[in-house]
Amino acid sequence: MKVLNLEVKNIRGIKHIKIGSQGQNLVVFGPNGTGKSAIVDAIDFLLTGKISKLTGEGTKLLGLKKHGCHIDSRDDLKNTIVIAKVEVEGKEVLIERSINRPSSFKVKPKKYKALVDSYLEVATLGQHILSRREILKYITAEAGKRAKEIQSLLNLMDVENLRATFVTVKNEAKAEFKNAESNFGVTKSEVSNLLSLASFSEKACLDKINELREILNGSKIKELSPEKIKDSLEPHPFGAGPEALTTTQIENTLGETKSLMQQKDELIEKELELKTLLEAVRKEAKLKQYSLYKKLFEAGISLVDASNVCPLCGRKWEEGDFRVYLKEKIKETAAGKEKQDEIDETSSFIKGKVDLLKNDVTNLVRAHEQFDLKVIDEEELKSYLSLLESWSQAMVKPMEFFESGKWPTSSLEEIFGASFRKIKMVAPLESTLKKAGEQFSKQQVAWDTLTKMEEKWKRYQKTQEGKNVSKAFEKRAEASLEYFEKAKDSVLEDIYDAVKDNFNEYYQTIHPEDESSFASKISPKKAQLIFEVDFYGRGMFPPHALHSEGHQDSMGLCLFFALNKYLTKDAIKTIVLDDVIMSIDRTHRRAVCHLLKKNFPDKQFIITTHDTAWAKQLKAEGIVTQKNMIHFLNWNIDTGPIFELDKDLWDRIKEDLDKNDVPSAAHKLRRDAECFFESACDLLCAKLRYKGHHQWELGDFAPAAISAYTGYLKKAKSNFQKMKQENKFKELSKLEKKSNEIIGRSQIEQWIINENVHYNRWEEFTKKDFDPVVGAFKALFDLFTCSSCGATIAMSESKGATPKAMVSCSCGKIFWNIE
Amino acid sequence: MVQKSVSDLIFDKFAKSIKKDSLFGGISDDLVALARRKRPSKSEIEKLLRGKQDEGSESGS
Repeated sequence: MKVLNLEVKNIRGIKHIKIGSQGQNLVVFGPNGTGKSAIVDAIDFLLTGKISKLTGEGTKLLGLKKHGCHIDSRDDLKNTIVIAKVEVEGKEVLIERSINRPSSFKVKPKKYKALVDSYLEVATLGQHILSRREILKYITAEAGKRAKEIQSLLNLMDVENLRATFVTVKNEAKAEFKNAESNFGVTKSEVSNLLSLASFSEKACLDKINELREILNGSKIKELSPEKIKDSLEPHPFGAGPEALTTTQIENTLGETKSLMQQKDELIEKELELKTLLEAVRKEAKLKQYSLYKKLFEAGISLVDASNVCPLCGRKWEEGDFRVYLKEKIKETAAGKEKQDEIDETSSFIKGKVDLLKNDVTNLVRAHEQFDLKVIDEEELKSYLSLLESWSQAMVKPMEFFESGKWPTSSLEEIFGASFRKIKMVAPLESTLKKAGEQFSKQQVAWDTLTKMEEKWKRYQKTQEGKNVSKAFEKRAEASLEYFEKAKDSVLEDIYDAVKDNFNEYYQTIHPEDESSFASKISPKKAQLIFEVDFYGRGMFPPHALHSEGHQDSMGLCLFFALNKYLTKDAIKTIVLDDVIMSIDRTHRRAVCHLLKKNFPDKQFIITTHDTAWAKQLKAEGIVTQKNMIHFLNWNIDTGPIFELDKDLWDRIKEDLDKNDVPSAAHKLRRDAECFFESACDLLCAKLRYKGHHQWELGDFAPAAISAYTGYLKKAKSNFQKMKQENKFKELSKLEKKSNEIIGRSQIEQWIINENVHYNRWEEFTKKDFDPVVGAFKALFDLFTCSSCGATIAMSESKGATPKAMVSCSCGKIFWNIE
Repeated sequence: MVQKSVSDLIFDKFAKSIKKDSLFGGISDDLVALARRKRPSKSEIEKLLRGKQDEGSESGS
């Protein structure tokens, strides 16, 4: 899609403007504040229904309807319109969009609506306008922010949100499994305490159940299930009752509690060990990302061959075998994984013990109640249970608690020592149990135990299932995230590879001399996008770290072109460059022109600039023709931009002369001749007489350019003769003769122009006087301009060990060897 | 002009991996459909990945 012509009514600073480009490049130039950017905004609005500078960071208070229209049209939004005739797949189509209804647009003929829709969908990516703001987005942004910008361009915000959700789900699944595992451990301990098992196993439980059934004259059961525990047994009177704890349970719980207290030293060690591990991981960010690094180095090993070339940056590894280096790196990542596993293992161990103690304390409190022992300090108990709970929770996500400063206030030494003793629950209970002795018969105890076992076994089965479900959930959550990240990274790496290759090529085109071995690296890393560039073979650095502003501007331009190529797939052929290469010098601007011509011959560039020299250079380099140069002269609120469509100079002069307006014609000729010869001096590296006040004029530029021209022509003619290229020699001899005649004519009459302009004696001249001057200058201009490509000839040097000087045009029709 | 979006390419690769893994037997289609949906909630994903509704369990006598 290319813009053939554009009509803008009441948009931003524009009241009404019509511009025709016929799908060719267009340059809008003029001082700041003359409304150039309003043209950019109008094109942006036409293609996307938005004005990008009114969206994004720092634009909360800005809105399209309030600030997108001309200030005087806020109450008349129906008349805020952009209409463009565009070319789509060889068809001419009219598109019209109004700020009144920005999300919809009219298409004429209507039958092309679907076609235009599909193109404008690509345009919504916004990848058709580059301004200084966008350059900063790509070049100087932090990795996280840049990733967001690029993700937004690639429409990946939903993908990133889903990735973040998978990360949350994975973390929750891990925490859930830790809780389920601990619950299962506590249930097993409950069963062990009830049945007085030395160590828990399902077989030991079954054997113990059968022992108890035997006491009650029951047959043995082969499988353990809540329904079978008391199957076929005669009902028996309860001893302590179904709700009360059995003496054995209390004794075993006391035994387990004491055993836990005896494990204090081990727990102190585990706490220290855990804190050391957490501190190490906190200090070394890489340890947290071991899995990602591991994958990277493993992929590296599979890709590196004997050439020792890095598959990422494409440079040769000079320090020994690259594969050995990668293997060492994998070992380092293994250390990271080891640390994470140790953290999981240690925290699970502590959690298991803490939860067990918490459950035991709860049961012992019930035993105290059962014996009506009123010795426990309620406040101490509450505070102790709260400490246990804080440890239990912290061990689910230890790193999170450690980093956020929510680590438990009491150490495990206190919890398994002094703090526990403060509750004073063990001794009174032991003494009471001793005094009570055996209260119930063997049969009553057996019946009580089997009755409780029914409930315990149900809980055992449930917590076991919970643990299994949590484990499967954790595995699926981990795998989902891994698959999703792999898919995302793989697709993005392919894209970034394509973008990177184009980026490097474009950048080298702009900087062929100093950056011929330039390389860059664009890589997704979790939620970040790392963008680094080579700095003269000294390593990879962020693009804004060491490169000059001019180089950064070039990089921004090249990255934009590379992204544009990938994203728009050549659908939108119009590219708007809004005052973007201001930090690039004239020589590299010429290289930019070369890039535009060489790499984007089918694109339509709409270039705005406040720099007249750049505008003229674009014309001289053959990027834009005279008729597509629009000069914005001024702006006022009532009329909008005051501009002139640059007609062909000779046509404009003819118009003046037809009206017998010699002064205007002479003024135009002088002004344009001055610009033309200034540019010619630059392109031909002409020698100019130095002036301290830096104010050169036509009288300085024209002779210098002509001198350079004649010198080169003479040299080229001589070279053709030496090389025995007779035809070329004859051609240049003829041109030399012709040029001498033209130069002679123009020099004789130059005084007329000078005098006319300087002394304003225009009334003394007639059309008849001025016609020959115009003819001479037109012929003079033509000498410096290629009749095929319209570009001004330029002096340059070829590449290679022995560079050769030449004079040529853009298309190569003119090519003089001046070595 | 019809071209797959970058998101589609990512979801296609994701679906391929999920469908190959027996860990996702019985839920792979639902998971892929959920992932492709705009902004699926965390609870929907959790429910699907859990496979069964976990009612949770507390220990005690």
